[in-house]
Amino acid sequence: MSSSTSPTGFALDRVPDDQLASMLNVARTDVPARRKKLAAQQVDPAWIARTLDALPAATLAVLHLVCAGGGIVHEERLFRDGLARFGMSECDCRAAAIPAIERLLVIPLTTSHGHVALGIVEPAAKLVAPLVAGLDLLELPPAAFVPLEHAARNARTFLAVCIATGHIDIKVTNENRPHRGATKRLAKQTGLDEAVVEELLLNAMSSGLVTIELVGELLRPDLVALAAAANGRYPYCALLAAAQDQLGLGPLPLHGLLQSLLSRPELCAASWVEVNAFDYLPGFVTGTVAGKRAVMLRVLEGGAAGHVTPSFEVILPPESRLIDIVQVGVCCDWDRLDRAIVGRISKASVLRAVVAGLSAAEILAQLRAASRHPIPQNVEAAIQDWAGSVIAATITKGHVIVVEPGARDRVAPGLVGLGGRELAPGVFLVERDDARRQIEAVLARAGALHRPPTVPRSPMPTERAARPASPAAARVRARVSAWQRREDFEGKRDDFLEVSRKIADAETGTLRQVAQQLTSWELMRGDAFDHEDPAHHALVAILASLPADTRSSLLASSRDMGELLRAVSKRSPGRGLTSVPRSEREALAARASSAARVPSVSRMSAPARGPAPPPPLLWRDEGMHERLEFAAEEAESIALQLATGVRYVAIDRVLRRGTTFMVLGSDVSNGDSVAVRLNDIQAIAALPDELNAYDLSQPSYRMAEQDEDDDDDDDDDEDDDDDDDDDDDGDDDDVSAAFDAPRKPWRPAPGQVAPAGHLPCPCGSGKRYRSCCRDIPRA
Amino acid sequence: MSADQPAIIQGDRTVLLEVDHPRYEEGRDVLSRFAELERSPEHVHTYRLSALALWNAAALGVTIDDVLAGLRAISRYDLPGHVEHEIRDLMARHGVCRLVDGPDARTLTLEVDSDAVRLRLAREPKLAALVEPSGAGFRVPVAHRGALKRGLLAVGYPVDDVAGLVDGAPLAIAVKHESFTPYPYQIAAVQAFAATGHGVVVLPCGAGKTIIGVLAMAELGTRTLILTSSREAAAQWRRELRARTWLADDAVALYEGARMAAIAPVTITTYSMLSKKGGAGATGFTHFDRLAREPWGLIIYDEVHLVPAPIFRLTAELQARRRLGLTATLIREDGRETDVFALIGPKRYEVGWRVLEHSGHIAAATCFEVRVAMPPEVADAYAVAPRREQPRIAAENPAKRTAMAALVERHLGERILVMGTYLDSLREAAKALGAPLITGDSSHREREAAYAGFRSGESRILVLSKVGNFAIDLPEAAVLIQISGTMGSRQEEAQRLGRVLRPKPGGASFYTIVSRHSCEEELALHRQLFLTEQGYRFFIEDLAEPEAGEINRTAGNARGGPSDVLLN
Repeated sequence: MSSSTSPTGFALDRVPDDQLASMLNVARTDVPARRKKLAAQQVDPAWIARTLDALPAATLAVLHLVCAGGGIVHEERLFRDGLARFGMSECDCRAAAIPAIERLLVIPLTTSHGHVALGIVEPAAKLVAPLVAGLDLLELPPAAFVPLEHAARNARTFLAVCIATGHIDIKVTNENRPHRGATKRLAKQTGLDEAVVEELLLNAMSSGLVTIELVGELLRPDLVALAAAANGRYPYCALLAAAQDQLGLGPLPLHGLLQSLLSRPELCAASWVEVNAFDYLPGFVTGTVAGKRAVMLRVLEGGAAGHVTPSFEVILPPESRLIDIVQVGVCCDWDRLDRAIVGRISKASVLRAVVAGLSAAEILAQLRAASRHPIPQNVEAAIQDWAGSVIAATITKGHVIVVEPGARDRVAPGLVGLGGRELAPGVFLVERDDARRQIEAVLARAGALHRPPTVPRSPMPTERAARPASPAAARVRARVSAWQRREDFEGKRDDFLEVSRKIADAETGTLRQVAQQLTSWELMRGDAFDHEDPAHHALVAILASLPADTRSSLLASSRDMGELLRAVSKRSPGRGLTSVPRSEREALAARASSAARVPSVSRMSAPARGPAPPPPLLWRDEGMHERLEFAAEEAESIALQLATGVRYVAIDRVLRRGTTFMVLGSDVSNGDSVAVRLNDIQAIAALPDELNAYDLSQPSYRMAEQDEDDDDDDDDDEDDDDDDDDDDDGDDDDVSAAFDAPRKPWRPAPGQVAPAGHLPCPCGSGKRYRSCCRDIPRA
Repeated sequence: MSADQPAIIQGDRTVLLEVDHPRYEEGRDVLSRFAELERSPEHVHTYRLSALALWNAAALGVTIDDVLAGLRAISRYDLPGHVEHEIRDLMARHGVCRLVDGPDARTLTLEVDSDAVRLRLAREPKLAALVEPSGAGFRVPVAHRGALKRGLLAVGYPVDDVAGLVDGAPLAIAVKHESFTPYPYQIAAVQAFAATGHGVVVLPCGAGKTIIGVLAMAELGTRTLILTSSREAAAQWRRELRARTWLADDAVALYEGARMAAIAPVTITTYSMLSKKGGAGATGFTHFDRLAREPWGLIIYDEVHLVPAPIFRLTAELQARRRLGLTATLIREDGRETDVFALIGPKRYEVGWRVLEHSGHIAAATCFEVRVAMPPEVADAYAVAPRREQPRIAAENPAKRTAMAALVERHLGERILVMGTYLDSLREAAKALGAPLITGDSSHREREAAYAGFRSGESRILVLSKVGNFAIDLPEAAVLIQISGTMGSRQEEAQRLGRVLRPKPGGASFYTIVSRHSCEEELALHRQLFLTEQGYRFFIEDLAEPEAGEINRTAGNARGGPSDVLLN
């Protein structure tokens, strides 16, 4: 640790008078005299020795680092070395530097790049450096500093760092090294030094305990490999498995082992093995045997020694088993990797474990296995609740602006100035309904206003019959309708499209026209019939047998499928339709009678109960990302189970920015444009496997402004047209935006008094009046 | 490693002490001298070797070697080297600055042992403005006593304040020993305080902190100013003083309202009264200026965790008086614990909640979190509401009334307090239960009448807003149902539990009703932190899912009779 090189510091002569006056807290006129005195003192060995004697040990350590760094050391490096070598935090380093500054042994400097550095003062440097280097810090009390490196590099910490790669997103650079920013975050989370974390991660990657997730280029823990390693085995790492084979139960010279491993042709490429690599790999133990560094295998032992507290803390003392660290680490966040590892169970950590494939029972079993005492009831209940958590997404409403990365920085300040917030990188939400023009202005100023594609709005079947329902919404309704009839719909989506096509191809003339007419009626009403159902054939046949005007009036007067079925089934017996098979007619009659009992889709705003409770959504399934993307490509819908019940969202676009998924689309129950923000955990959990799980017994999902929106349809026509025009340009633009129609502000009627600004706005937005309609200028 | 030792010392100066270990008590006794008990859940207690705790220990004469030897004796592993260094460094700072009596009554002398601190005092403009260099030390005007202590503590140097305290005008206060016997911990707390004359006593709610105040007054025998958080608390202090001492009625005065602002040898007032601005006095606070002129020998800060910021500033003016702070929860959500340390004094005495519960001095409490689903219409409103409005919607969940009715049903025959934050839901609750409601709008007379009715048993249920959080003495209350709270306030949760902790045979029950799948769940977790860290366990119960339209029916039922909703 000693350094014999003489550092080159910062000459005292170069310190301006005013700065020196400030540092010494003397008048500027006194500076020349003080400078002269200081110059004399700083070349006086006795004064230097006395001064150093009076300094605290930590200050000597700082001086040592400054001298070892060549006389001038950047603040960042000082903190890093201080932590790595002496366990001094940034704060400690700063505090320790003050006495040295006060004695004018070092001075704080600002570099031309704006960095802060500490420089040793030139006249004193020559005397200080040998004394500080000669101290070598061994003359200090031996326990004054403990290098954290050794404490941090043990098997327990190593495993804990490996498992923590699942706690935060750690990106990988092109050189397959962990990204520095992510390493920094992990170091902060675990309380370890950044360099130590990086080293541990590299070793973890080499030994196969963490893997690179190719899609996102993120590091992820390999739970199976980690569990095996916690038991001292490395089944997926040929080199370590070979080392274990060679070691058997006896010690081997360390270099001999390395030599023999590297000489094996299948392992010779494994140049990453270093002597110290075995130090903290679980199962291996290094030591000295007959004067030679040796390595041997250790049988891992231990019992449940942890504690789970009612305040959701998990404490794993040093004597706890390694496997407990792996298992507990999956379902909690690390607070501190110290002698005792301290973690905290949170909702996010439990959801993460669920995504990793654990159920609530498994999480609890793992915690029980690691804990010496029973799990507190509140923790148990919370885990069960969180693991089956139904709050899976947040639906936000407003102007959603999607900005490509290149334009993000230009646009962001303006949108934020309008009260917007960034839902995901490059996706902004401005909740103010009246901000459309301002948003356009912001985008235009940033040179980023192109064609905003509109998120399709699926109209409510009864209230917006004039507007066609989106095909996606219609398909969902068809499925829902099928489920309501308690039919198994699973796996038949493609079939029914095919069948309907076949019907269309097979039938000619009137029958074909009727089929088309019926299809457009279904689209208009947003209500659909299962085309595979025999009753559908009967329905088409009966309609075809009716005169064209009767058929049209029948379709026009039927608001939903139930009414249509009842009307058609009334007519069928009298018509004597021998061409329609009896079974089909019976099926139609049965459908019509059941339609009288089962509420139809179009009446779903009224609370109603289906014949049976919906099947539960599947929350754990792998490959959800792919399914989500598939759903987006197919313009399908996703079912989201929210706190408010199950919702279907017809997907328009799915964006993935960083770790966040954004789904832009429309709520099929009311046609509202929505942006659904799904973080990586919740998105996976939110997508059900069974699309027939939509529970229509839930009341309609209505926004507070819905009624006003309806009233304002006429006013909004112009804007809607604009949006429609904008659709033509597609998605090739580097910026796109989706807008809702602006809402008409509330105005007091003549003679009516406006409420005070702090009271709720009468428009029903839930905002204060002054924040809502008061300041909106009249058109 | 030696498994014989009960403690693990961490690198961040926390100490984990295993409660089940045979040598737990030894470890506890060692740590209680110089470490702060942060969390005391069932199996592992967490202590922290904080700077304040180490300085407190140093102030009581504990040396660095004592601390290190004590830690080594109980530690299962080696003491981390940097922890030892930090302990040495921190404890060495105590005593570097000593405030002693000056050459005259208006001046104190600050003795500084360290050149670095001396230099800093001279250089830092804020500190330099408070002192005048004088030889090796500094002269400090008496008026700057508090500000200087605060400033030096902020830069990491506690001031050892051994300058004389004003004795105040004498007042003989005789305690009615025949009517009550103080508990041993109360006597110990008074002795710990009297040794230095300034400091804070931390005891659970219901443990008799008022008694400690009374005993401290009797011990010092001087005129006393008592500062409380509310008028009700002030009235309660007066009741206690009359009941526990032989003080004449006119020797105790409530200083409240401009017209009734009477001053007596023992004067009780509120923080809000004291921090009213006005007048032409030195500080600009009219009542403070008036009261500061009186020869008080002791100032008692009741509920010291509630002391508002202006009072800290004013307290800096009162550093020559003896100061006693009383609280159950020395946690401030604004993080001003250091101001309490610097200006009122360090923590002199503390007993854990569960310790007193085990010894029977406070009631054994069982805590429940009852989760109720939001009815669909509320859940919809919640889902689309802006984030800042969501807590209110969740708190006003009408399904909570059903749960509340079920809980009231469960505790038939017991006195029940219903507490909440949002007035609308409290009004509805009071209406549904046919119980009196106390809010900030209730007059003093209404409040006293409601409390009297509750004490006498005339009304079995009392509905309270936030005004009931502190210093309300209703020993008969055995059940508390909390239907909403102020966001994630830990201190409020603990104080509300304290309302039912007066010793009683059947113990106490504390219920928090929380809307399921709302932000309330997370807020409740945070609120419960203090209590779970004190060793309380919360049991989570789920209320059956309400059917559409059921809420109104059940609320109607609750008025007329038993509820048909069962808790799982």
